[in-house]
Amino acid sequence: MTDSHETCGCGEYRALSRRGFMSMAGAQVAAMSLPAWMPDVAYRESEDTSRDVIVSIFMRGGADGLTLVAPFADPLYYTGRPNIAVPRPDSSSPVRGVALDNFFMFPQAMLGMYPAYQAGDLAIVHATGQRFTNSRSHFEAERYMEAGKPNDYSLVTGWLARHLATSSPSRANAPLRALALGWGGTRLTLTGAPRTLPIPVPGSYNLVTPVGPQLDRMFAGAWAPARSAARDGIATVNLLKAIDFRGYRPANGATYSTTDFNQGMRSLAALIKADVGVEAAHLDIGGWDTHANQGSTSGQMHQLMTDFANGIGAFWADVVKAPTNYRVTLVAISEFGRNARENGSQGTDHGRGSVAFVLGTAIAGGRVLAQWPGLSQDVLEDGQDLKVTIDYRDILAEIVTQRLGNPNLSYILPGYTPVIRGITK
Amino acid sequence: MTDDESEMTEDRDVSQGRRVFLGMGAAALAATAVTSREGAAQQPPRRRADIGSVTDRLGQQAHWRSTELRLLRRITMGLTPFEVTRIGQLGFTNFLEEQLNPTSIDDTASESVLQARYPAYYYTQAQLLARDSVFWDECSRPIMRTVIERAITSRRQLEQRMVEFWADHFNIPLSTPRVVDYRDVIHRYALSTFGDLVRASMRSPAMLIYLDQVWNTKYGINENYARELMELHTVGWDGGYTQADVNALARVLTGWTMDGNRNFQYRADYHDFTAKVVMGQVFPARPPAAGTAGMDEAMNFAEFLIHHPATARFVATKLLRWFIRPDPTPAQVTAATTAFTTSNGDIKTVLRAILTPANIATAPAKLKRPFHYYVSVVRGTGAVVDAWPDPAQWDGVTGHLWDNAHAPFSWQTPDGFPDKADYWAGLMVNRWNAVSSVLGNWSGTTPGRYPRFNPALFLTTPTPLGVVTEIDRRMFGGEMSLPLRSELLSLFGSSTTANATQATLAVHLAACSPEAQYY
Repeated sequence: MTDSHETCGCGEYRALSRRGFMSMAGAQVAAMSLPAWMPDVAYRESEDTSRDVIVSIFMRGGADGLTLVAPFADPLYYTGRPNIAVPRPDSSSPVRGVALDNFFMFPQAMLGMYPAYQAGDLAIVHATGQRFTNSRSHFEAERYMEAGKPNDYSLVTGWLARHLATSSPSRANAPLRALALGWGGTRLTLTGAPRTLPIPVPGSYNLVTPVGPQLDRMFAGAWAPARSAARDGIATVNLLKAIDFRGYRPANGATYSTTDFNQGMRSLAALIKADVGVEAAHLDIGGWDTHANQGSTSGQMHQLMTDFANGIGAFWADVVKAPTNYRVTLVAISEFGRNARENGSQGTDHGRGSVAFVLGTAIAGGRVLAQWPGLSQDVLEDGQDLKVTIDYRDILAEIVTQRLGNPNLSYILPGYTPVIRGITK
Repeated sequence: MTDDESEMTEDRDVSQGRRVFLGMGAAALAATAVTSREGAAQQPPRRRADIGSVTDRLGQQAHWRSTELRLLRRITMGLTPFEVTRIGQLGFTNFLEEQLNPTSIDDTASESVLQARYPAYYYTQAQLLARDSVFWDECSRPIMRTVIERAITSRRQLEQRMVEFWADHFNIPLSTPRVVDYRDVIHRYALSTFGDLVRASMRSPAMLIYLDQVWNTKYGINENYARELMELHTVGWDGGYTQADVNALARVLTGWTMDGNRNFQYRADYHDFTAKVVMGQVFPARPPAAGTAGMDEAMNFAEFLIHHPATARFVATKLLRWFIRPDPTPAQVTAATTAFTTSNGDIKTVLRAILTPANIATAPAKLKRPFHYYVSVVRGTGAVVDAWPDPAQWDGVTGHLWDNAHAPFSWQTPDGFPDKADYWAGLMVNRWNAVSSVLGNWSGTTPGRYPRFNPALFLTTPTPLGVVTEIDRRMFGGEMSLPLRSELLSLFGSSTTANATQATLAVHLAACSPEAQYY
């Protein structure tokens, strides 16, 4: 499916979709005058500074951990991937990787995150994912991962939503506790969360209606989830109007690119610094389903990694790096990794273990945390995939308890007893 | 991973979560006359939910009394006086039968306009191929407008709902060959048999490109299409196949590709003639040969999938969710699955088993997805969508569907747009803005950019009561709720007459109202 982006111009289509179509719709809406009925929102200083803002990033499509953070010291990596491996850091190739330690490396496309790694704010967890399901279906694996529990279709809310539902707001009167940035609706990670909305582009979130008070009144009697979406939406329009997203200037010379993901990170930075009570955000970055013509050092995955690493790197410099030091923890995960060996079309099919990224000043970073299972035939899962040796919920559990101060793990990650891996300081 | 005890803990956690999340909803429900307390109470609490929302099954619109109108809401893209009158003449069963046989409905009024406006949608494969390089500038908007405008104007409304369903089931983002797929697979077989759809989809270059089947050869396996053919298209994610089955099916499918003119082609020289076993189906090794040798393997396995019990259950359940409720009862699932099995996947037969008066009468209101909502607002308000003559320029019809994350063909992954209220409900502000764009007559110097709304339609009796009555008739089939009626009347204050501005305001509020969000 990803190959079609190359052959059918879907990349252009997506570019049109997000920038062309949406920004114009936003501009059209923005050109209308603000209704006079909109009430002023009283802003207060934050009441609770003990909790980090949590940023959840989902790398949708099954991101190839063996390219994102490649094990150059494992010779079987090169044996299994004769056409798509990233060259060793000590090679003379112009597209050689950059060593993270004596075993793993970043491909050059990931260098946007390298300063955060060097500063000790970025931890990488490898051979991670879902230990207790071997699903190689995107949609099943995404569902389990976002729910926070495998093999259970009865759980219809997300792990982050349940954190929010079991914690008091970090600001009592915040109209918006959490948001999903980027094109689309509410993904499962945030499904069921109170005071939470999908807001594709915060800078153009506006409402043009002459009947606002009536709608506010009528939707008070409507059903969830339409009721909360309607009333929170009206309040949030006000909230976001007070923030100058367009004129936002990132700190520390951080530079976000023009992609949706980077612009989403930029909007999020502005939102965090505006200090309006937003305490969680979710972003999707898709396109990782690299079945054909993967392009580890140039091409589709190279571009995607560049986008991903630049967005997170800029966010780190802008929001996390001293002296800004906003209290933020960011975690990026994917539903599964990909086959250890390349397939017949210079791509990789669905696999198991992948990689996760955790960012923040309170994160024990600057290292790759892994119980490396190896890539030999006898230790590959089903003879084909990197094993998962660290369940991703170990990462989430530590963030939830240590950085979000929420002790309700049995509710947020039900049925799971996490192993503390020392991801936070 | 978990023992029995932790399973039970999980259940307690989930039910506690529902109380937390639903607590306010229940309070709001109790406080309003809009929603039926009886309706909510009739539904037994379910200990384990199926796929779908916890929050959109809270009851029914108690003021929706007519079973005929309930059927209309389910099988159309929104009420119009035409359909309301028609079902009044024919009754439930005959109207449904008419809609199940779309060729019996003269649709030339809609189709002739679309053909004149947007030839790009009707291009042949060769014509499209010749426009590959200019496709996005010259063809993409006309094609999307065709899909949107047909949903608005076609009288074959159930067919349109089914086209939307299958377009998600066999989802492919927009591309040059996707147009051919949408027209010659999805639309053509929307009310035919499930087997017709699968067989045509397997030979559809758009699908073979999108899911990398064109790369899957004996020289190198690519599992993408093999997996989704089982997981998404036929037996479903829990259909009983393993990773080994996915790999073996990929080998069965080797050779299914296309030629240089983007027509389906089987290439025996790409086919893996070694032995394979997929879901217990044995394909013995055979000597490599030319022509269509080996093609029968995937054809036979497709028939196995089409007639597999898991497929009947998976597709029938998905259709129940689409038309009736996110959590169909076991009895509903059994009835629909049986209809699927006994009719060999005849879609009309399955729909007759799903769209029964009993199912329709008890179906809880369901949140319209943004496409459905937008189209229903245009239909109900009588707004006119004029031709958009400049395909390279942004237009407000596709634009506002983009703004609602639901422009046709814009879902990038093969699972299709979600059919879940929880996914869509958060975009309520975007919905209201779309209503403003339908009613605002914003086109200015660019005719056709936005719909054209004529408030005179609602001023046949230019009094407050006259306007509200006309809104009720056109948009709600005469079943507007009392709270909405009272809100609308109060918009007029003490005025005893109604003008165009007031009528527009009232239509606007009605179109944005809670009950307009549901069907």
